[in-house]
Amino acid sequence: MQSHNNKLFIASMLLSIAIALSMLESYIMSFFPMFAFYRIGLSNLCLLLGIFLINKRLLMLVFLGKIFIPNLLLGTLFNPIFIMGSSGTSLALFSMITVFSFKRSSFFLISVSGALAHNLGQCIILFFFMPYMLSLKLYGFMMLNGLISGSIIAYISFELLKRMNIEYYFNY
Amino acid sequence: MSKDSIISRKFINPFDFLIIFLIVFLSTILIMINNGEPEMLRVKDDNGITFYSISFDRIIIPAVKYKEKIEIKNKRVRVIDSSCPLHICEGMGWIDQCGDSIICVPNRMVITLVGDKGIDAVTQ
Repeated sequence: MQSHNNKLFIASMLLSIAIALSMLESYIMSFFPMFAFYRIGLSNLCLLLGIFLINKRLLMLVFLGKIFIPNLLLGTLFNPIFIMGSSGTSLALFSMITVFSFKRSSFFLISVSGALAHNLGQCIILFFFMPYMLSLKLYGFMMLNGLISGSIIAYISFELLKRMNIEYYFNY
Repeated sequence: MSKDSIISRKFINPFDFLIIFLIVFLSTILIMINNGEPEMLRVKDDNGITFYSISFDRIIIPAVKYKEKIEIKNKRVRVIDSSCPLHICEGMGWIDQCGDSIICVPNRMVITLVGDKGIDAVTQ
């Protein structure tokens, strides 16, 4: 039986990595002011690992922390970029949990569905600010980007979980 | 959330290649969407909003604090000879697609290329 402390430890580690990755993403995008609203979705790695390693209640805590804490630290809480990011992350988590529930789904499929949903969430908010056709065109680019970033995240999480001592983690 | 759910899963299934193909196909279609030909230039400066035809080449001088010129050439538009502090508007270069815009923050000026459908009752 997996101990509660063990799960709590993993959840707190995932949350801290998610915060660091979110802030790194914001820093990277500050070099591209035209696409300041866009997030690559690197921090989805922590949500993907969380789906495999922790229960849903702790996963929700990681998710809420990932949305609020980086924006609180960056001073961007409740601005349009925060709304775009949080809607993207919510859709990504929902999509990844849904695909994960299919027993034969691969790491790649779970991660890419999350990345595409993340971009879709951002684009839905963009529809309110930009012309409809331009947002659709932008989503075309985002889809390609989501495919690449989703594949990278899938590979990293696959390798991490393969190298992890799963027997030990689930038995103690 | 069990170890079997980790061990039993592969990195990629043969079916996923179909998904990759579908994503690339769909994104190519979305990228190739044509926004329509730009017909007019919408300039918002100190005098308010003005529309200019981009059918013929010319230079427009907007009513702004820091002097600058807007050049229209071959249905493309750019800002030249800007005296604003950072010259970001000048650095944007040419715009030629419907919906493209150049914004000069110090001058509070926004220029946007619009098509026939881009002008509605509100902007007019």
